[in-house]
Amino acid sequence: MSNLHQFANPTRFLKMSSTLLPWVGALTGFLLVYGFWQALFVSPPDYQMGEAVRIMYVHVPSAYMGMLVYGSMAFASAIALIWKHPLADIAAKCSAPIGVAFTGLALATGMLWGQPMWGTFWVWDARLTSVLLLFFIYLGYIGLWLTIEDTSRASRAAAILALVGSVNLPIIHYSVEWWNTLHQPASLLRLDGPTIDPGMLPALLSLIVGYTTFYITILLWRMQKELIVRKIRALQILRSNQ
Amino acid sequence: MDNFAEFFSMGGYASFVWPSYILSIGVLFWLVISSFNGLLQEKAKLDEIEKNNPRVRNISKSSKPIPHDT
Repeated sequence: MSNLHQFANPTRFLKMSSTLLPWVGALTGFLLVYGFWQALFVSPPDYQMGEAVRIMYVHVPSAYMGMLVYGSMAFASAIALIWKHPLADIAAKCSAPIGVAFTGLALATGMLWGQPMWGTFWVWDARLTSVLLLFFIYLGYIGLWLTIEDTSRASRAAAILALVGSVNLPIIHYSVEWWNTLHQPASLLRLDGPTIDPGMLPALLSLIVGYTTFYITILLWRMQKELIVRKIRALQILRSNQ
Repeated sequence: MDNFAEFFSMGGYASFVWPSYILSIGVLFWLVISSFNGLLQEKAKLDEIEKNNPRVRNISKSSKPIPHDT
């Protein structure tokens, strides 16, 4: 049962996020335009895979974001479970559709890259399988919010799923080291530094950062919307009680 | 014109590179439109509700009796 005092805090969030949004949005726009321009027109072809390497610039950022968003969602879920902060709950819920979209993109662009490079669009190796699992966990998480009517019960169930599912994240990341995978090993996040051609870094890095600020922008919009939805619901309950 | 044809063919990988980019940019656009549109719709709903039910801020100063069930 929601009571109106919960909305004293969200008013501050609504104000802060409205101030932040134009800046984050503008930064996102700049980074994405610059990144895509670098990716398609400036960055060099690869000596082995030629122009097909350009798929990397949309595949890698999507994959990173699928994982980063899940990590944020799990972190927010922990805060929601332990401290019952309503904003944490909302942040987790609103992150999920964004994360599932990025993970889906990672899978789709990966398939489009795999077909010409490996001769197959899918193998059940550790990396691809664990990312597909991530995709299904996201769907399950969203499904819990959609099907459980009581908000606090939905929040609790979803938070538990998010936390249990987070064990998949290190599995995804280390899958290419722990198992014999068709998917290539890490070429960016390595202890001895990136092994990638430096001409590819501007496109890759600006799109990774741009996708991250994009996530923040979309998340803020969706959280604002969710806060308004809950406020409307509370007002309607108040009205029907008068 | 030749340059453009060469660029568009992506070294023969056009049917893999272009769908990747179109899909990615399409999904990014969809996220923007659905999120922003959703926000605008809910804001409009809230404005409508608040317009029809102006909140009484100082109930203690109001001369109207507060409805009770006794």
